[in-house]
Amino acid sequence: MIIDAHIHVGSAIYYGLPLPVQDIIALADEAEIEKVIASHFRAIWYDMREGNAELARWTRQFRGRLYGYVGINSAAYGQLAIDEIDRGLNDYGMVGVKVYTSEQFPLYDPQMKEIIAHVADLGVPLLAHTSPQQAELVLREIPNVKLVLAHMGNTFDPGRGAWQWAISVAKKHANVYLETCSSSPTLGFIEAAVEAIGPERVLFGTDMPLFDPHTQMAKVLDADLQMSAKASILGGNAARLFQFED
Amino acid sequence: MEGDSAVIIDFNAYVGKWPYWPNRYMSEQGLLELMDRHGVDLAVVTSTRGIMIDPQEGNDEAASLAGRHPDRISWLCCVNPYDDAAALVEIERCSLQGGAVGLRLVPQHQAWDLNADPYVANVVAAAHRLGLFVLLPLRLIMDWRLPAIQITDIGTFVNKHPDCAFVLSGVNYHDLRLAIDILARNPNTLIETSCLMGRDAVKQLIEHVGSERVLLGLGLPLQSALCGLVKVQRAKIKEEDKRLILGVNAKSLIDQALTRGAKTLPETR
Repeated sequence: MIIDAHIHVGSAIYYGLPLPVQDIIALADEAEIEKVIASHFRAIWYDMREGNAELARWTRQFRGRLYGYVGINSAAYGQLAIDEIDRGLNDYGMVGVKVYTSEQFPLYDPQMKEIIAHVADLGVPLLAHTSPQQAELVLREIPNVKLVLAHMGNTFDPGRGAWQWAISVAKKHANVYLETCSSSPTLGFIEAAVEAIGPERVLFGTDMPLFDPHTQMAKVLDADLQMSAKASILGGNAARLFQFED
Repeated sequence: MEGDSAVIIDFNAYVGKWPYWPNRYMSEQGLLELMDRHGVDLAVVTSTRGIMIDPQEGNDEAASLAGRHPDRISWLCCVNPYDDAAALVEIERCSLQGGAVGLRLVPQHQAWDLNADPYVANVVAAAHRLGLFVLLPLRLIMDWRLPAIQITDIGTFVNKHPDCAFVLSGVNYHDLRLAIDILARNPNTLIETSCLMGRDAVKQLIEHVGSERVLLGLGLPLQSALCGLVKVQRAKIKEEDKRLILGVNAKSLIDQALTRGAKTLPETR
């Protein structure tokens, strides 16, 4: 079973990106991806309630294929963000939380740390678009959060693209997962991750609709790894983390 | 190489050392192993030594590799405009004696400015006279940490040299619209695909500039060959367009460069 742990749905003004959700599902079909886990662009970049509500409608429409991350557009919404997370997980049946940070709105923002502590208490995965450096700072205070480093930390400076840095964070923290999608098709980066932390904490993602699922999958298939390790990365690990297993 | 239908050419390959992180395939045998594994017939290499440390040493390294594997390796030379007249001598040496098929300009690795350097126009003119195309990379491979230049600077440069044949390299989704604009304005300009990672990027290129001006780039041995291949092989474009992009266009460009180079007499000095 192939599971894509990182896609987006909904409208966004970003490189002509948007695709109707049914077209994204069709892309997943074409690439033989059985389950996709999405955040809504609107939830992470504009209004969490609007975005999450629309995503919830689509996860119902594509039940068993499309799953949701509760998106949060800013840590500054504090308790409202925490309430939205609870609504998304309890009422909408979402399977994790997605935050999109930057140098200006960092993961280590005090209000964001309160949100992350709440997510850690709930025990659900947190997919974070963040840098390895910011992740490291947060993990010192909230070591029990199940943190999925989106793009393997290939996000923003310092160290944009520094997958080696992300690997070192995951090596130190047993509940950190590394997700593989990004612009970088660097040969050897997945092998380096597996060598350092084993295959169990590496997750396949595509970032559809920004990237093509075939090119992102090719990075895993082309890696010098055993087939069993590739199978874990492409789906087995996500099935365990998001409790998709029967 | 087999007949044209089977040709796969990586137009953005490298030889030499890789200073940024270890790469187990960054060697002659490693490159050939990856080419064999993925059915890549020919790699157009540039020496990282020539890009980053010493153009002449690097050019010798690339020429030597091509000499050992003439059916598998073509190469691009590198010069530094800081060398002034010596850069022209080096281009001529690489073209007429070494069999280089193009010139790669890398201001982002050599601390000169593409549009302000006082000597680079002479370098480009020499390449043009020798029948070499000029490859202009935004970045060497798709890693955000590597030195990069702006697509707008490349556009300005290309517009200043309308007669020269350029190949845009290292373009990703941020730069694609402007790259298409450069291609639309400059019919002598082509583009390689090694850093194009946006969904449907190859299809967009075909729709705007046609398949004849798109060259497969893989970034061997630094990038995943499979990733680079599927972006063309799985693109929603005609099979004939794929064939052109995978190798036919590159082979034609290389053949043209070699033919023109063979007909060019050394400049009287």
